[in-house]
Amino acid sequence: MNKKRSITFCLVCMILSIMLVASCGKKKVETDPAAATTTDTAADTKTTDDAAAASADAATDEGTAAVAGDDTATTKETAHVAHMGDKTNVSDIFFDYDSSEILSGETAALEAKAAWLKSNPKAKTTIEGHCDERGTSEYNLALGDRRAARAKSFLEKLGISADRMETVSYGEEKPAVVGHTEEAWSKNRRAHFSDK
Amino acid sequence: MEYSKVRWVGLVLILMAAWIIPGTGLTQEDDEYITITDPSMKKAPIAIPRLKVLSGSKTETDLSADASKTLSDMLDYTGYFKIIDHAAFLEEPSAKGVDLPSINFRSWTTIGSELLVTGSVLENKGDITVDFYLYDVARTNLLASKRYRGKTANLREIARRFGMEILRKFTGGDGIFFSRLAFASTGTGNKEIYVCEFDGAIPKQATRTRSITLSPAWSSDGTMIAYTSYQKGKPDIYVKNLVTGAVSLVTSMKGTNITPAWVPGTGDIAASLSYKGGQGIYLLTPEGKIRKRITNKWSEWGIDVSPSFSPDGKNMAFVSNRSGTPQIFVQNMDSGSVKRLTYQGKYNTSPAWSPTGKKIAYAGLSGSRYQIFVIDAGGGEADQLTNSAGDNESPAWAPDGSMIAFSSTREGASKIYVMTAFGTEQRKLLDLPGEQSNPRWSANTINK
Repeated sequence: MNKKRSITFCLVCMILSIMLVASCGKKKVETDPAAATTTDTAADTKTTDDAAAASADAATDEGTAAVAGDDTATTKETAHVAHMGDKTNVSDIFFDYDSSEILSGETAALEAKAAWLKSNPKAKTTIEGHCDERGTSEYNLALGDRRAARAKSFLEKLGISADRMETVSYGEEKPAVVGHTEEAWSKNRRAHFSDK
Repeated sequence: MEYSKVRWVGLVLILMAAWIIPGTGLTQEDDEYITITDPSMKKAPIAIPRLKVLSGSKTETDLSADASKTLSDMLDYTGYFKIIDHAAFLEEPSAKGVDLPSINFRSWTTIGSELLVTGSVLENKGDITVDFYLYDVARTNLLASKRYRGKTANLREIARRFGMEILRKFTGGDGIFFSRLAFASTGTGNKEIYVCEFDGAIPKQATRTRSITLSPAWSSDGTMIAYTSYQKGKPDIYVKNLVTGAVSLVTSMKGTNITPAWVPGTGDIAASLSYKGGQGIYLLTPEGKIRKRITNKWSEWGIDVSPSFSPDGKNMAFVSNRSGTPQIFVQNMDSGSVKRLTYQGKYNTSPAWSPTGKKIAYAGLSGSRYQIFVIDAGGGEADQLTNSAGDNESPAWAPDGSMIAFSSTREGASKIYVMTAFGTEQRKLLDLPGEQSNPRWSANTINK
């Protein structure tokens, strides 16, 4: 039931995206490629993702090609970045179930975070460790602490001073997404950066 | 609820000790105790007719029915008794006499009763005198009789006291009627600690932190609760004295300060702290002075949480991921030696040492669901007590080891449930708004 609905949703999104990209590509990119890029980044993530997939054969001009060329990691990162100062900032990194190990797929995000902290030397960050709802609330408080501590340790190794970073664990008490599916859980197993 | 007539007054319990005058001791046969470790135990059929009204007032008639109902519900809750329906009664002792010479035992054996409770109530301007008698129907003798004096509002308390006398006859212990449960509830929009009676009656909010507050732990005497709260923006450990209402901060060391447990026989608290890297279990004074680190630091990224002590305080069960997944370990407090207790499954947490010292209950992942298990404290095969579609977590033993409270999502939102120590008679403890979790059962403190 749910699956069917999301497939329908995706199809609708794809069709709309193709129409959007095709029209954007023809009208704007030729005159102002920079404007087209800005529009894409600001656009809804879902549209951007689907546009990237759909635009591979739907559009071939320079502006959209840049978006289409993004690999999955970059696209994923786009979901949690905001532009502050002159560097890309990162708001979350994600973890495997019942693990506080920094995943290889998340190191780029941490490197970007370190770069942002370096280019914003007055900024401080609180690293919140979070877990998905599965497992014991008490054990998850400890797991969240370990996740935050590992993220902090990683940033220290990249040269960020420990006194610019605080950690706090929320365990499973503050999920980013409410739901009982792996999709929700994967978004809740995170270290969240709250910058000051 | 049935208990609507009973209003909780803070001073009642303190005053009751003075008001209640136990009846004269009567000769009793040698008691045969129920072995509460016997899973094949047959429930004792018991008849609890209405009390005899001595002056015949409307108030007395109401009290009479109330006393019978309250005592029946309490005994039913324990799982030891089968309450015989009033419709089956061949006679009403309230219409005849309630003392030994007046009882026609044949009327009670005929309907399958093995035990009979009779009594009388006299009310005068709000003061009540209640007599209770417990009879062994087969042996046609009196097992216990008590006289209680109090106010009409004390009826539940009086029923509870005679209930304890009945339990004493059968288990040799004081039972659970003077115990309470603490748990976390989200009813206000924040997770706060609540306290209710042993049977879910009279739930009251105990903390007003307006932050995340969880993991209540009772002091041995049942007067204080240690808990984890985010009042200062991160998890720290506090103690609330339920008698005075005073709240004190135990520790707000850097990092994550969680899972407090009182060490039996001392005022000390064990808790998991992360200020030195590695989430480890420490021994603290109630003022938060660190006496020592109990679990060794085995990794910068290790987790040791959720201490639970054997009743003699000599051993501590806890959760550690030192073998890769969360498992339950037991550490000897003197020698420091550590033994892994659970090997079945990839996620075993929330150990709760039984009051008898022999068993440890815990929550373990079975398939894709968490279930309650019980294992011998010395190790071995675990018994799975729950098997519901939802997650069952956070087991807590009743003070006599006869029951286990736990949280479950079997009906959707997380609620508190109870069952016998053998996993039978699983039922919801109470209905409250929001979600409830982390139940902890206090000692049976007769004069709280």
